[in-house]
Amino acid sequence: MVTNVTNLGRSGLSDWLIQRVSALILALYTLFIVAYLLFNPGLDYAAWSGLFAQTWMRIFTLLSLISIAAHAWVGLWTVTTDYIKPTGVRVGTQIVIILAIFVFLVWGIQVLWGA
Amino acid sequence: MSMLQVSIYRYNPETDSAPYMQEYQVDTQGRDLMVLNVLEMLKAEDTTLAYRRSCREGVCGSDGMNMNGKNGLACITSLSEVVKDNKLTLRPLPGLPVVRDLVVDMGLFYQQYERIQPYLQNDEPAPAIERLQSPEERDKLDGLYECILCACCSTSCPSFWWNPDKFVGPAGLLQSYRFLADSRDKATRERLAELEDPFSVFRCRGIMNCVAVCPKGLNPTRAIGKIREMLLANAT
Amino acid sequence: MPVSAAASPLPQTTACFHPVCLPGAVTEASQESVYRAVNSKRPVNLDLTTIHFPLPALTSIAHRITGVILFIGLIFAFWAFDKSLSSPAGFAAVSDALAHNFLAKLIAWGLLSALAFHFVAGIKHLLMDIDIGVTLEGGVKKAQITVVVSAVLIILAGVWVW
Repeated sequence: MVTNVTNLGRSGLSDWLIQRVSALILALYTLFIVAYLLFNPGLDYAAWSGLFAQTWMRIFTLLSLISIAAHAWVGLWTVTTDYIKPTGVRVGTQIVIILAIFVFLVWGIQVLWGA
Repeated sequence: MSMLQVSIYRYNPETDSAPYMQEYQVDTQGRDLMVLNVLEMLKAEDTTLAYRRSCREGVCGSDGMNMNGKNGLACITSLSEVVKDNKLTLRPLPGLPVVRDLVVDMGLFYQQYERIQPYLQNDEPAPAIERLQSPEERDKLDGLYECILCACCSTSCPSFWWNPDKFVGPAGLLQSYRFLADSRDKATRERLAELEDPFSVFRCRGIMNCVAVCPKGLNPTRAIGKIREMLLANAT
Repeated sequence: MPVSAAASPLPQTTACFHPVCLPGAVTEASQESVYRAVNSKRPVNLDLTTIHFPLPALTSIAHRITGVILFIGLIFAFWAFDKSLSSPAGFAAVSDALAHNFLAKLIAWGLLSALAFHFVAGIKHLLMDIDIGVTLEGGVKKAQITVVVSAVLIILAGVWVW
């Protein structure tokens, strides 16, 4: 059994599952946004902000924001543990990445629900 | 025209500070030899050349090496399969420490193999005859038991290169599944519990180099997928 | 059989990839470098330029690279998200930039391309998870499809942006 403390879930399996589920959510969200932009070529501010004012869209977007956080962390944790062997540099990089992810998450929530 | 250019990775820890490539020329007389034949011809001239070999028929797994970029067994790889532009480059299996020339230290590879407990575990009282298994149950072992532990797969896997001490690797995981799939083995829960962490199984990114190089045509990626399915069924 | 013994030194690096290693240790032949392995003074053959990578391996590393690109690109995506929803002026600023600013268009197209590839390769991974295309031929075929579909999407994205 190989132990690790900076991975996301409680086991390799839960990380794998989180990455797959978040991938599916993000795939759906991407398809939705791309389709929306393609089918609304003359988009204006009123329609755009109207879309994000609706509760179902906010829920979908928040779900996607959390999915980005989880998906990015599992992926980047794998990358850092593959290539960065000096422990100090690796842990430092992981901390910076986690902070960046947290910033994105709060930023996204602020955009959705900010004044 | 029939002179083959051969470039071989050389390293002698007693005399060299670093590895280097040595060029040879071999007259194959137009025959489509096996790479091992070429090595033997070279060794007759240059007795300092070191490589492992034994059965010369692709069943012992001793002569795994990297030939023109691709891992394989030298004894069953013919020149027509690998030679490009009349040039043959032989390098040791990637990722493992080089003992000398084309001989690598298989320690980490065997360590991962031992870690997965490659033996049948069954504490039930032994029957008077052998432990029975139906033909269907026996069929599940096909494509798993034939592994000759040549290490071509694990040494072609980038995930194994970056974490050979933590990721079990394609060969080890194939054997792990060989016992997980065996109806006579009763230690399934313990085997799966040992593999739950983020490294042992889940470093497999589906790169599939292992399948591409296996000289016995085995499929570690599929076996790893099956282990994942078992872990998923067990734990969700 | 004549054997010529022309020896050429190998490129060596001291780029060590194991926690216990010798950072900054330089061999006497300092133009050259040696890959050192796990806790051992023995060299390791990891010169990636000498190893042949089949197509599935190339799509796999591209999947990883596009993932990292997308993460960095989130900065631009979030900026556009924020600005476009902040006010009508903000929305106009974003759509203006995407319509006329060369750099903005380049970044948008780059990110859309990375997203297209990562998306298609991701579908390939999900299919592999349910045991589809996990054979040698299947793997190569899926990798080929990934490249072709991504290329098409990248071109379409280019048309859309430019």
